[in-house]
Order: sequence, then C-alpha cells, then structure tokens
Amino acid sequence: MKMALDADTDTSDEALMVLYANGDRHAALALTQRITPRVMGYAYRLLSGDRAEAEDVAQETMLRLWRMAPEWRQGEAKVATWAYRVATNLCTDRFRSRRRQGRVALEDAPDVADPAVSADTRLVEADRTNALQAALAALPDRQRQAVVLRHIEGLSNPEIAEVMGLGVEAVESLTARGKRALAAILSGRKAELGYEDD
Amino acid sequence: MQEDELNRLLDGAKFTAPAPSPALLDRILADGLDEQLRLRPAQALRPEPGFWARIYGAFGGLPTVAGLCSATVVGLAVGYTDPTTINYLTGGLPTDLSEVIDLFPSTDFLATEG
Repeated sequence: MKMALDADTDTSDEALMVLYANGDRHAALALTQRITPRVMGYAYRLLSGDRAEAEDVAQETMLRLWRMAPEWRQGEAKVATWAYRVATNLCTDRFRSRRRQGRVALEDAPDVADPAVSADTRLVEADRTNALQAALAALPDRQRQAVVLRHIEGLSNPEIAEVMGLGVEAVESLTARGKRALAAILSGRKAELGYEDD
Repeated sequence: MQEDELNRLLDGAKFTAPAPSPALLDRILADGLDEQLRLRPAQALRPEPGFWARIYGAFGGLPTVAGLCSATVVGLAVGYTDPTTINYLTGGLPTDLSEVIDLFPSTDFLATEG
C-alpha cells in the first residue's frame, strides 16, 4: 500500500526529490510543506521583515528546486542547504536593489503581533523583534546571513559554510563579528527594549 | 548589550517569522505539479521497442545488419556465377606461391632438416 507523504514523514528531503522527479505528487506536497517555511522565514529576516518580498523569494526558490529535481544527486548536498543558498542569492539581489533605491531604513521592520500574549508583553516583544530586525538590516550582507543562519535558522557552521560558499573559519568570524555589531547597535536601546528590568 | 541578552533576543526571533500563507503554499505546490507534468512526458515519450526492433537490436544494429546483408548478396552472387568465370579470374595465379616467391631467403636454413 502506498502511503501519502507529508511534512512529518520520515522520508528524507533528498529521497523526496527523487520521488518528485519520478512523478510522485505526494512528494511535491511534502517538500512544499517542509522547505517553504524555512526559506520564507530566512528570507523574511534577510529582507528586513518584508513579507511580500519574502514570499516572492520563497516561491522563486521552490520553483528552482522543482526544476532542479531531475538532476538531483542524492548524497551530494542537503535539499535545505541548497534552498538556503538559492534564497541567499535571491535576497542579496533584492537587498542590493533596495539599497540602490534607498529603500532600506532602520525603521523598515514591521510590527509582529502574537495574539496569545498580553498587550504589554506583546508590545515589548514587538519592540524587541522590530529592534532586532532593524539591527540585522544594518549589518553587512554576509554578517547578516551568517548570524541569521546560525542563531535563528539553527544551521551548523559547516552547513552555513556550504550555503555561503565559504570556509568554516570564515563563517565563525562572520558570525562573531555580526553578533558584536548587533550588540553594539542594540546596546543603545536596552532600556527601551525592557532588558534592564529582566 | 550583554551576550546572553542578545542570545535571548535571537532565540526569541526563531518564533517570530511569519508562517507561509495557505495561498503561498498552494501557489508553490501548483508550480511543483506543473513542473512535474513537464518532466513526465519526456520520460513517457520513449516507447517500448517492438518485436522487429528487438530482433534488429539483438543482431547488433545497423553495422551488423549491413554486414550480414552484404555477405548474403556476395554469397548469392558467387553461388549463381559460373565457376569458369572464377577460374578465369584466378587461373593465372600459381598454385603454390611458396615456390615462386621467396619472401625471406636468409631464413631457408630454418626449413632444412638435420
């Protein structure tokens, strides 16, 4: 009996790619459910919280993934790592385009609301999220990518090295410098972000 | 800002990215299924070889079949040709070439006994 694949199945992403290329429609669904949220969240961070652009990046990344599937070779790369790399390049193009047009500002980050918490807490959380998003936007591209991949997306340094096409030491250096820069940017807003009361 | 404060801020950010909307997931899945359909005809267009195609392949394809046909035609031609014609063509040749042509005279001692 053939079981339907979904995001929770034990089948690896790489095996799903092969199944997809062989015409398995359930594999398309499982890959969509697994990869899209990761790419979307990552793009959202890199693009200063611009949801519409993050959705465009996610859709374009997945389109390239579909087209890549027939040539996918198991064991050569992780699907998620490949998707992060494509998304990184797409975001870099968009971010640079925005910079050329002067559209990037520290106040670009949108409000993010979680209905499960109280209004006061939500305000503090929203302030913190916005402050972090703005601080990330102020980092150089490579530092922002490394920090987001390491500390928000939870990738290992070797995985980040593969995504960014760098050595592991270079990734460690970028991450450390990125975090120092973030701390420096945010230290002026500690009281505003409620950290002195914690 | 202290490192632990920054780490907490980054940890909290793991849960604040928006989830993809159902509409986005639908669009992406539709793209995936469209692309999949484009892949499948390319695989389906290769038909199974028929009986004669398999026989043809079993003989080794065009070069082998061409060679077989040539050999057959030559064989038939020789079979239907008057043998005197062949004698006419080959009659002038000596029957024992070794008596006429000594290709390696310096090696005659190898052929002598004793």
